[in-house]
Amino acid sequence: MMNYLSETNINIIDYIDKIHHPKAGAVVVFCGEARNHNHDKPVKYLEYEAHTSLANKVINEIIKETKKKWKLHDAFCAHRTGKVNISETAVIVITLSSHRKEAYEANQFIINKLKHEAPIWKKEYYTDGTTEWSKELIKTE
Amino acid sequence: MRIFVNTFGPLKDYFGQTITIELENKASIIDLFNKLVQINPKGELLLKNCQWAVNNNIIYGKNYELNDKQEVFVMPPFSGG
Repeated sequence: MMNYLSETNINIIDYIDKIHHPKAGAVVVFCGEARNHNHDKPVKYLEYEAHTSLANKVINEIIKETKKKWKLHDAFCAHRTGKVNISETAVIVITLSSHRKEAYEANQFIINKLKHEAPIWKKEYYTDGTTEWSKELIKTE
Repeated sequence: MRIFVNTFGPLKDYFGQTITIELENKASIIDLFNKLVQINPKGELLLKNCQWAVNNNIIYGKNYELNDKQEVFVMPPFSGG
């Protein structure tokens, strides 16, 4: 099975260069980068961890489902693990279709589904030395 | 029987990354949940929001029967992207 997780820097130009299809008139690239703030608190860097084998399996299923649903010519995703510095790429999603509508919709579908279904966790390292696991999807009641 | 538990993300703060749990034979995920709560009651709320995985598959029922020396992955809500 394909490995969608990368312990090293994701160079978006390399990924875009690699993925082409002669039938694709639309190539949509979403790039999620590490931002320097979280709830108004300055962030120094992020760290991601994953259940590697299950994350690869889940992302592979998401890609397969999306390609079928939008009849894409191709789709790709890569997600970082380990330390990600500010403005570095944390995740990239590329979708290729004949026309842009499908490529845009499919791209958003993949990133939304990945955030909810792929076993990956983000930890914020703040400039004041404190740390915090992302609580975006944790129910508090 | 002996169960090898792996935790991720914020759950590690409550139980460490790996923990070995002794359970009665034919114990289920719910028994493992109760044992973990017993070990650290502060982790209960997060545990209630966790998904559980065995053999690279997510388990959709707390009655899933565990086997001796099985590896169980306890996964708090995901936060990738």
